[in-house]
Amino acid sequence: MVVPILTVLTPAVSGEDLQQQLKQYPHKVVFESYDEDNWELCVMNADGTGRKKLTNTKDFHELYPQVSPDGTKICFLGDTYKDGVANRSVYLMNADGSDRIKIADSSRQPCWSPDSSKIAFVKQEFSKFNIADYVSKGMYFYDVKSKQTSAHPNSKIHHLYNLTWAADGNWILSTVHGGMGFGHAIIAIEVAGDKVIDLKMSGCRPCTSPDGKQVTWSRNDHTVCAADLILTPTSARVDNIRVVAQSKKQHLYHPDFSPTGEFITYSSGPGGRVAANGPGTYTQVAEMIGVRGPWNIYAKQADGKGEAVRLTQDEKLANKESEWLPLKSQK
Amino acid sequence: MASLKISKVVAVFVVLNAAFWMGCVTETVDNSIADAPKLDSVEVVSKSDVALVLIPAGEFPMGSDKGRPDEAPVHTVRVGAFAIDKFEVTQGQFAAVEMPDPSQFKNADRPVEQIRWINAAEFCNARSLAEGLEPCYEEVEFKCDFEASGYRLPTEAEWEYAARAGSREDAALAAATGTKVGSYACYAGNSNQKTDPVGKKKPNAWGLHDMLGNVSEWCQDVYDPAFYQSSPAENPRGEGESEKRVIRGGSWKSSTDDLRVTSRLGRTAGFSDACFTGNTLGFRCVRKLKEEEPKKLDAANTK
Repeated sequence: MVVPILTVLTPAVSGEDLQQQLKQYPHKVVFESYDEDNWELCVMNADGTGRKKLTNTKDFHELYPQVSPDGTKICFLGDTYKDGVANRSVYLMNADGSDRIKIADSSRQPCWSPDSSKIAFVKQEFSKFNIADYVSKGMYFYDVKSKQTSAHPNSKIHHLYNLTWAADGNWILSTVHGGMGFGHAIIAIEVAGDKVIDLKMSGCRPCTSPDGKQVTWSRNDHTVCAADLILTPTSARVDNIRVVAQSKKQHLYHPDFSPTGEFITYSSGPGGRVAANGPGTYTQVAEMIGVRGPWNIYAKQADGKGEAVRLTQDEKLANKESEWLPLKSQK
Repeated sequence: MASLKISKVVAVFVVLNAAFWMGCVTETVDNSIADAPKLDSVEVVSKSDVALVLIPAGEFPMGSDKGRPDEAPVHTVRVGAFAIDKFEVTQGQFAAVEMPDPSQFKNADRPVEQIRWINAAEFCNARSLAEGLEPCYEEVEFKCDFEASGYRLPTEAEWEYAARAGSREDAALAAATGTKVGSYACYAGNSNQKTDPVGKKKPNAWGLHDMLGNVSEWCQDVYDPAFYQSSPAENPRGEGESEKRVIRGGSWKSSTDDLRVTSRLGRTAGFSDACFTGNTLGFRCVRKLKEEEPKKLDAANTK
């Protein structure tokens, strides 16, 4: 028997009204942006104002920011080059951009544990870097306090991307492509065991809400969805799938819940294969990490009602991969 | 009585065989299956230990007037000699050049599937470089240099010519082989819902395995349903503007109706797909003949 989930309905708002709501929203948004031949992490207010760089590093490209749930730290990907050969690794810094350290070499797709004590990530599959996001093997956990890394007990983990750790701590959701017996799926992986559950959601790039009760993802190139996430220590499923944002022409990716769950930000831009067009950029489909296409970041009510608001204004800066920064980090 | 019964069976068998070889029986002989006499071809092994078959130049009737509209009209095509992979490209071959393997049904001997056309082209380049050959594809728009020495995807004409292996019929494999179709193709009736390791089924008369069934195979040509109405007669390449490329051969999911050498399909090449799915899609490579190889073909032809 399907138990209906009680949903708090919010009225649809106009773009102007949403802009006003975001203006009053105390949390900020971190994202990647390409400026002066370099990928950098930037931060802005919830309404898109007050944009400033968090990083400013020549010859070092910062991408894919992931903010700790307690708002004090950011882990991210760093792309560097030596003799023309790329290296992508996972780094950690304070939320103000200070005290950067490398925590995992030749690794990618990091995400935070709900208690901000650990970072899960995957390692690149081959010795040579490949930009395709699913080219990964294994899963590992970096302990922030001890600085030790341990391997996930499931030795069959393979070809995961876009990890997101659910608030209950027991499950990590991820996309899998051509691995673990799946063609392509969004799965829930038991953190401390071998259980893997197909959530039967078409699409990719899931992101769980801070309270663990919802998940958002791209159902296809043009549609961001959200659903109720129902997790127990031994089971995982979704229900009440609804459309949050849709576009006939633009590709919509990288959705992220705001700290209180009211809003979802996402990246939007033309799809297709983009040729490398500057240092630190790659030739691939536009939504992949490190591909510089004319993209911007939008916000919308998490229930999908009402209009979207564009937060970044200059598509030449290839603004993507938004991640909310909770209030606690702000001084 | 038993011995009389056996004698009758033997007699019928002898008569039928005699009638067949004398041309009295109108059973369709389809060289896309192997029981027909082996044709002139030469097998070589590449530097990366992959078997290829050298196919002689020739002329054949391409298409069918009994199939779907895009298979018509039947038209005469001439192709030059070329080398073609004996088997579909395997996951083991991908691992050898450290290319990401998107396949769902994992095994080193199984064909690569879930592969975008552009990634198949990228593999061709990687394989060319590994063997010291010139890559055929530039890797932005993936235009093909047919004069390069390296590997590329077969043109649709090359694919059909190789699949026909000398046959001028377009009979479905099932019609030609009757109940033996399962010996020649991994298809819906025997696949257990996944691919087979390559080469498990019998080859055609040119020694090529899995030309029908197992995985459908990408071709070089863009897909144009009306192409046959204006196709060049000499080495057609199917060049044009389309997001779709040609797929041939049917797969582990196909019914016997689709196990036909003339059946054509088109699918988007995956230029803009980050999450390409399709566990029925794979490919095999072709290349130009090397300098010494035409002589090998000539020697085979004079036997």
